[in-house]
Amino acid sequence: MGKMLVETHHLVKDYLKPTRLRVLHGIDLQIERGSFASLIGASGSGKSTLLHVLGALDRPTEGDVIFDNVNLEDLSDDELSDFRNLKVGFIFQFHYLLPEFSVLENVLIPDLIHTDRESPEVRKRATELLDYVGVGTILDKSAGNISGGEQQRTAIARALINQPQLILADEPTGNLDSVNSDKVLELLHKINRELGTTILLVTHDRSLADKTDRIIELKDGKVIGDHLLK
Amino acid sequence: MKFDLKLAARFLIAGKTQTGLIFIGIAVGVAVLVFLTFLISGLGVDIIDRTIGNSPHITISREDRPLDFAVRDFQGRPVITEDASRTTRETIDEWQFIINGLIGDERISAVVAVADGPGFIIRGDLEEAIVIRGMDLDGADGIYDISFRVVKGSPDLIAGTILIGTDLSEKIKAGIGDAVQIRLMGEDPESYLVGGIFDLGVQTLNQRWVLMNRERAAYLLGFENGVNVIEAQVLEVFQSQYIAAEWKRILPFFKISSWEEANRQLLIGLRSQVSSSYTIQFFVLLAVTLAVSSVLAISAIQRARQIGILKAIGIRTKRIGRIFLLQGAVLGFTGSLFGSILGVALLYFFVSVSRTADGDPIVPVTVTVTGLAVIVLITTAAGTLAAYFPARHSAKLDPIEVIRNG
Ligand SMILES: Nc1ncnc2c1ncn2[C@@H]1O[C@H](COP(=O)(O)OP(=O)(O)OP(=O)(O)O)[C@@H](O)[C@H]1O
Ligand SMILES: [Mg+2]
Repeated sequence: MGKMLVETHHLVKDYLKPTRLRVLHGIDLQIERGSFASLIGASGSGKSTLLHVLGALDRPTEGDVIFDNVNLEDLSDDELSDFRNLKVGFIFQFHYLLPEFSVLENVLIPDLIHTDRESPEVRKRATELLDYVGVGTILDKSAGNISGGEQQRTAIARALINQPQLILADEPTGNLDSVNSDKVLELLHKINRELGTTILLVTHDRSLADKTDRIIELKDGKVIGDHLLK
Repeated sequence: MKFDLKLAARFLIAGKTQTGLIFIGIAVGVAVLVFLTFLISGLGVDIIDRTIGNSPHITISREDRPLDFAVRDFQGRPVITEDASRTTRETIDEWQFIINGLIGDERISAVVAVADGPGFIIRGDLEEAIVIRGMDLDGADGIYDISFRVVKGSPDLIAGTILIGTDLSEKIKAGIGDAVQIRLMGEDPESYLVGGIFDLGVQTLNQRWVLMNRERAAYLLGFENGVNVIEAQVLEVFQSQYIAAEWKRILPFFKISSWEEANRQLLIGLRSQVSSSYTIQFFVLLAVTLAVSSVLAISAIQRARQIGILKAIGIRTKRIGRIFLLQGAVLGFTGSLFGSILGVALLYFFVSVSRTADGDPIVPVTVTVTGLAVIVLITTAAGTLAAYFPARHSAKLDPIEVIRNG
């Protein structure tokens, strides 16, 4: 097992519509196992695009993503789906729970996607995770009827249920007030510390980035700064 | 699959107004479908039953047309004109053998051997042209239900007694126990007693048929204990022409005809009824399909966010399609199940309010579970099919679009 969880080699991403636009200009990046890195940069600098390519939501135009010694280019679309299901946990600015399901059910969904059956052990783990993220008391509430902070915590629990190796968080606090956003960030630190999950956090907020291990700065699709803080 | 079904069900339940409306739409459509289908097939069965329920489906003879003779008026007296082929009354000598063969064919439900020929009945100075029909009561009951149709006297066909129809009884003023005479063209009359009077429900038969013991009729007609016609009924009336054709191969020297050949017009009528029923079914199904399709298309757009996130967290593309196909199937299945119940209730209501003076239903409707199952199955398939385009649309959805746009 190598030291690096993710490596990119000269990642290029072009959008073809409306006109051809190069968003990532040859990114070479290495993310260490167990690290907590942040990705900062101006709006439009390509942060989300990079995150999506790293998380196998999108394929790069050129270059490679090597995740845990597997080149994502070699995977079929179905294998990429399974990869997203098992290896990464996404947390987005908009929380994206399924309002048709309860809080607990939302957390179970990634497991159901690959096992197709409910198991008491997973249910127990989901309950524990919801406790861990601080929403253990609203398990049976509909996910459509809870506050923004509660939704984001639930989304974090959902991202953790399949015990992913990497959490990709794209401005997870962008829609929260400062109290809630501090709590969510603390939670991510706790997850990184206690569960050892590697985290890549996209943020606008320099002060949030300062609390992470490493700050990667993007500008116009290029890495212009990469600082280790600890 | 279980999880896919759960997602499908949750999506349907969440859009309860839409789901409810489309469910009612399907149910009403299917109720109409069930009602019309069974009513029309009931009508068809009724017409067939009335027309051929008590007549032979397959007729075997040596002659070209055994019953083809004409009654003409000759100087105020009825005269039967025979065509040339009838003058040689060819009998079926091996009839016993053929009958055994027919009985052994499990598609055939009743068989009777008949000594059949024209004659005259005389009572006092009244004389009528008749058709002499000699057969065993057992066989006659199998096809004509004679025992049940004798309205006066006894159905027993003992030698020396005859059964006559209600109309003939009135015409020659002969009742039970009365003596009548029967003669063939150019022969001396013989005396018989009227033992029973039947009503076969068909005027020409009630006027012309004189039933007697088979041996007696054979003797009278000069058949030497033979018969000249074998009649049979089959279980599946629409199979009779094929069964007739098969027997024609076994018995190439016989004329074998089926009721279908003799009733072309009726068949055309029945077929057009069936095809009109198919047309109605087709359009009801089309309406159901389009309705399901449009509702699911809207649902697919409304659930774009959920679909996007499910794909982002790793559900495979084809399962997204399946979730929508399942929604279509669930709608089709539950809606048609409910619609079937509604349709059957409607049928029972219809049957209970529309009765003849005797209290019998006007149309004998039989609802079959198989028929209902077929309707439910087809509607479920139509619902699934209807979901095809919404399913494809959803499966193609790019999760990044959803994630970017919130
Ligand atoms: N699907 C797309 N088609 C065309 N252009 C796109 C598409 N997605 C993103 N872009 C463009 O790519 C560039 C990078 O976008 P990206 O979302 O990665 O930036 P970002 O750094 O995440 O910005 P923000 O901080 O506002 O989220 C932008 O100029 C954006 O307009
Ligand atoms: Mg972004």
